[in-house]
Amino acid sequence: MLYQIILKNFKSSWKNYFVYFTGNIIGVAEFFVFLGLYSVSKVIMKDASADFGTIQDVMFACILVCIFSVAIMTYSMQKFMRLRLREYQLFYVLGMKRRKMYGMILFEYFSGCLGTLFAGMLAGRLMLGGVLKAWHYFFPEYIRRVPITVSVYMDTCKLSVAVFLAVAFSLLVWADNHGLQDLMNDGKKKEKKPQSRKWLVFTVAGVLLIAAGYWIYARYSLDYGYLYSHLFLNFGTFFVVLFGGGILLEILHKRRKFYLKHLLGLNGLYSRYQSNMLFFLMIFTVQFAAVGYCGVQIAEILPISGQEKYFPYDAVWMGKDTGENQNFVNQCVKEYKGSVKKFPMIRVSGYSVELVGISEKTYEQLSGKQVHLKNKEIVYIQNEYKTYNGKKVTMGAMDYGRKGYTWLMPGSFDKGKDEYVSPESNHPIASKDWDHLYRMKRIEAGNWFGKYRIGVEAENVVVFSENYFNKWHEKLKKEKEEPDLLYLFSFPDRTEKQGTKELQKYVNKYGNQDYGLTDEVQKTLYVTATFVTELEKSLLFQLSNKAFFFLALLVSGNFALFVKTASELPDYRKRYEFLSCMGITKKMKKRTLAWEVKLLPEITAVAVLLLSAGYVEMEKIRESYLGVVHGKEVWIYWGCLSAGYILLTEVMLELLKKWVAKRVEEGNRR
Amino acid sequence: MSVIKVENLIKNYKKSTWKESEEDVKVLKGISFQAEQGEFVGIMGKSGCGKTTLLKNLGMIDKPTNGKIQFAGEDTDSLYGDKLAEIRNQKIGFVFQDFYLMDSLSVEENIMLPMILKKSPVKEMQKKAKNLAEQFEIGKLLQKNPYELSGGERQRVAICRALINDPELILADEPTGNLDSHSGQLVIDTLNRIHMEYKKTIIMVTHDPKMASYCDRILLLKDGKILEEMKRVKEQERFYFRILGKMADL
Repeated sequence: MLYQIILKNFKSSWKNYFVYFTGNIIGVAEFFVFLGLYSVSKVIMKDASADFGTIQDVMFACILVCIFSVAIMTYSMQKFMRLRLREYQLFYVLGMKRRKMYGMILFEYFSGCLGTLFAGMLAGRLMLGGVLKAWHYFFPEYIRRVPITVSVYMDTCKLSVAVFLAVAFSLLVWADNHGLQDLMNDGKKKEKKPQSRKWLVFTVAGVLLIAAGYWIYARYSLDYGYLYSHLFLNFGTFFVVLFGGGILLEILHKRRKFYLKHLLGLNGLYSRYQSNMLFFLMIFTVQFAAVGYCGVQIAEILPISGQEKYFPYDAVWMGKDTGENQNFVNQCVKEYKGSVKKFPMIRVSGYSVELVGISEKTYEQLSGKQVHLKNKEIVYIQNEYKTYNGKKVTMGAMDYGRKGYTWLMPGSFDKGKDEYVSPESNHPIASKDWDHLYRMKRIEAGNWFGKYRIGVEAENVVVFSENYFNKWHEKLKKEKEEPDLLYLFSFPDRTEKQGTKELQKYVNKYGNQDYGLTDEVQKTLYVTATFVTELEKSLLFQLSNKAFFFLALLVSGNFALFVKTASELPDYRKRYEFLSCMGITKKMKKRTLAWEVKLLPEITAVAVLLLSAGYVEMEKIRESYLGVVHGKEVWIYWGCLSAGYILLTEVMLELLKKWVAKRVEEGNRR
Repeated sequence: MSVIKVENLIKNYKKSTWKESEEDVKVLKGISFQAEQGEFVGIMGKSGCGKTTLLKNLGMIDKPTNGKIQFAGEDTDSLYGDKLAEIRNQKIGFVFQDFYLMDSLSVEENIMLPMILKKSPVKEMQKKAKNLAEQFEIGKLLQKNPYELSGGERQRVAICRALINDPELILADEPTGNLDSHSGQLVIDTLNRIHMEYKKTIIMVTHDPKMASYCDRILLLKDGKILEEMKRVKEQERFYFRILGKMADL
């Protein structure tokens, strides 16, 4: 009989629990999708160069979404548990044993969790399947079909069960320590907030954390700098809002005229300060990840079209300086009304890459600058298309060097260099192999020929002293497969296609056969039009990744807002019914409700916008250290994206406000 | 002059959302009475006889199915929106059984709430709240939160709140229902004082014959109708025994 009553009670309150179970389902589904994406990404990337960036993105998004999912599941399930504990009060008062009561609650809780776990995994499986299918359909070059492994299911289960257990355990311990009476009073008592000026110390600490976060982010100055910087930025802002907010509210409280005018709107912030701050942290993390991290990354990719403007030539060929080649090139240029520039070059092997070596004189011809290099001194030019030639680089290219030295070996990569170059060999190249260590007199960004390799250092340019270059040029010239001349072609638009086609045909037949790095022939000819098509597709793929994360974060953030508002609906109804008795006007009711529903999310949005604006600037500085120069357009694209995000969130808040107003009005009969 | 006049008041709660039917719950079945300026009227009856429904209709929280309610000579049927809110705010004071204090606000803020809604000047609000609190012996509690107070103190806060806009009518729904006898006595003394000193019209729903004996007049409700009207003509104690005698008929 008792069980029938409990079941009846559960059924009648089912509507109240629905929102919490939905929160749980969304949390589990997000675990599944992002753990799945991470696991699948490691397997499916065809191109090793695309691998790193995408996996890093997925990993970062995965960490963020998992943190968010843990937060939303904890929030939802602890609300559910508290509701049930309150409802079990009656049975407890009527003599139900505490152990039995906890047993019943845990049974209900874990049954609910089990159901939501299955539903969440099913929803996640459908979403992940859909996303992978869409990616494979649009980008078969990058994504191939891979089954979702059992480990994804297992990991989702492990993570979800850990959250379920942690919530149940912490709440039961809390209830046991505080007594059940506290649960009945839950939500009524004013939560403490930092209001004394002494807490200003922590506000300042928050500001310093933000400053440190920006600095580390821009300078990459720690081993895990990228991760630390984001943690610092998040927690710094949390400190500023938590402690600064408490002090600010106290100052407002003393300005009685303002405070009393906005008493009802501000009431929620004052009375549930700690709960609100935890919610702020959750929403802020998600929104900052979307507007800051994803927003900046998307803004840097855009625009996708028009990439050809960054390539000064229509084709670049690394060939031999032979009579046959010269005859063909001259004839081709003549026939297709084009032009060609020729510079002596050598292949240079770097750490898992092949580079282009030129002489001091060639550098002078290209840049108009003299460098005066001696012996094994070099100028290292990092290819970047979004740069101006000669831009000083202070990060990135130094990674494989030590104290201004880098490991290089003249000539194409061959099997003999494996022991030095293979990352698995653990050869102490940077510090001990003095035969192949070159002093980098300067590192600069450049776009002398065009950047034809993305995400790797391959085809970067090394400038040697005249004597050193000539010595190796003469030596390597004698090798059959070593290119010694760089041909840079330009054609008028109308003949470009034909001209490059002819060139490709010739190179396929007579070009160098360089098999060193992989089992496929290394590229010695780059045709701009073909490369730009691939590049734009690759950018589109990256954009789709980031847009997916952006949307996932947008939906997650807005769903959290919904869960919070829905959980507070009974309070809203009760309060506004009472305020109606007190004679609140419709206009004031509308305005107060808008304040209550929107204030915290809007404070969050302002904090996100301010922090993200700084993040955009820091990203520009960081990129500038790497040699990339972004123009004003990054700000414009980021501004549009942020505006879109904020607008959508504002629409969501407006809908929530209207929904709450409607539900509140339903309670008022007149 | 009558503050409130009720003529043939009917209130049904529909079983179906869309249409009226015979199965509708008929709560009030043609109630007529009036309360004069400065009168203390009690409404008594068994649970479910329609006392609270009647009070809600008088307070314009609920709408009658039929009949007429006139407040200060004005038909309440024609009142809606801001005009209705203004009347609730300035001309009617509510005291509820479970106090309805906002725990997140201080006692002072709770008392000032109707004035805050009216957008009164801050100094005036604070002055009035302080005066009222001192009169009803809760002056030292102004900066506390309601959850720190006893039941009797809470109800006195609610009474101060009901009085702050100097309303013509006070509607009290079992104001002593949740209190022990000592706190209940404090509250009824407070209401009596309001009635005697401030000459306010009070309509109070109560179960308790002792509390009812403070009223000038009692309406005894049974099955949605007024069974009898009792007037206090002699001292309170005799009126109390008369009420007790009538309780058996309810």
